[in-house]
Order: sequence, then C-alpha cells, then structure tokens
Amino acid sequence: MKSSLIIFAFFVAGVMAGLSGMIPQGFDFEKFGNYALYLLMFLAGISIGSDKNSWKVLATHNYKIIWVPVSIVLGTLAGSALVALILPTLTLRESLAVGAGFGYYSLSSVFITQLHSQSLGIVALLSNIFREVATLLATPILVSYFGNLAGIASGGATAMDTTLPVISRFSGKSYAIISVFSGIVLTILVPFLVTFILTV
Amino acid sequence: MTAILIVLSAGILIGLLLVGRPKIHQINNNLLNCSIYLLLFLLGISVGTNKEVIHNLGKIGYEAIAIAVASITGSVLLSALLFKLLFKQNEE
Repeated sequence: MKSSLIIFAFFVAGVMAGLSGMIPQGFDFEKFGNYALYLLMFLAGISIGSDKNSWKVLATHNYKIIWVPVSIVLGTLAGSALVALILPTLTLRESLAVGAGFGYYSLSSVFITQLHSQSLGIVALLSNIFREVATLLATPILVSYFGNLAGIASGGATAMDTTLPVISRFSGKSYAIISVFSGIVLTILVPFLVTFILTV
Repeated sequence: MTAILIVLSAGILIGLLLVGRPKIHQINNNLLNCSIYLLLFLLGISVGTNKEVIHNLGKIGYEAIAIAVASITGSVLLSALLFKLLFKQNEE
C-alpha cells in the first residue's frame, strides 16, 4: 500500500506540474516518456532474466496461459457492455470501443479519434490511463483478494510494460512471463478489435 | 512496440548472466522503482498539460472512470475464476 501511495504522489505531482504551466512549452514529454519506458523495460528485463523462477512458469503452465488474455478480453467487454446499459450517454458500440483499449491509451485514443470522434477519443485516453494508474495502485490489494492473475487482468495490455514491475513484485516473478505474454496478445489485439467494434 | 520488446529481451539476456547475484538484484529493484516513479510523473504531466483533457474532465471523466472500473472488475473476476480452475494447483 505504501508503494502505491508513493506512485500516486508522483502522478499527482506530475499533474500539478503540468497544470502550473512550469513545464516549458517545447518539452517533448512523449519522447522523454518513451526513453523512460525503455529504461523501465530494460530494468524489468534484468529483473525477470536474473530470476530462475521466471522460467519455471512456461514448463508448469504451458497451454493454460492462452486462457489469460482470453478471459481478460471477455471480462473487459462484459464490463464495458454493462456501462452502456447503465449510462444513457454512451452507446454499446462506444463503450465497447473504449474498453477494447485494454489500457493501451495512446493507440486506442488515436484510433477512436480517427474512426469515431474527438470526444470519444478523450474518453478512451482518460479511461485507459485510469486503467493503468488503477492497476499500479490496486495490484497489491487485487492480488491478495483475487489471486495471482488479478494484476495481469487489471493491467490488460499494459501488463507487458508499465504495470509489469508492480505485477511481478506482487504476483511473483514466475507470473511476469504470463504477464508479458498476455500484455503482448492484448496489445496486438487493440487496433484490430477497436476497428472491428467501430466499423462493423 | 518492436523497440520495447527488443529492449526487454536485451534486459532478460543480461539478467540471465546475473543469476544468483543478490546485491545486483537489490540495486536493480531500486532502479526499477525509481523509473516507475519517473514514468508516473511524466504521465501526470501529459494529463496536466493537455488542455482539452482538463477542460472536459468533469463531463467526460465519469464515463471514462465507469468504463475503466467495469473493465477492471469484469476481467479481474474472470481471471479469479481462471486462477482457481487452472493455476492454483501449481502453487506450492
């Protein structure tokens, strides 16, 4: 819980810094953020590779791991569909498209802006950022109540990169491989599924 | 995305050379935490500097949060079922 609060404090500090206007106009945070992500991935890779337990998972779980991304897709779409039933401002198609971002906010918001509208693109951006942040904050709690797959499920596509360190810390490093696998499958699915939902 | 996977693979390969070196693990984990903080700070800046997001926050925010919460709840519940059915027996 303490680590979640520290993470949240850094996020809030970033929002404040952005709002305060003290960030120089020319500051390309997207580029800088990409480098930070590469650093994170590299360090996460070292952490996975240097732990013998990481590799045991492929031998013990084998074919079963395909069910992880499948259950995340079904669970996400079922949850999103429910929101469309409750909120009158969203159609089923809109709600499903936002959900199908699986936390991959950059790509899904661009796709949805192009294929549907700017405002739904912003909903997708916020919703999927929220999914990522919520996963970073709640993974310790989710794992203790819902088992070792919970962080991976909550993280969706982000389970392969940004939320991977938190997941591997609280579910155990043997789940890091499942996490990367599931995240990759979902990341690849995002453009296809979003396009399918909005155009069919 | 390709670049990210290459960086991750490079890290894993280097990590394989460092198996059984607890001191390096400790240092690496500390660096890992710092880079998570940095990334979240940058994510915050990107939200804070995006005027369109900030201005529509109230109007759009509740839809975004509702979909995120429902998506997380749906997938976590299904994954809990999956964990019970297929994964739990492998835990020692």
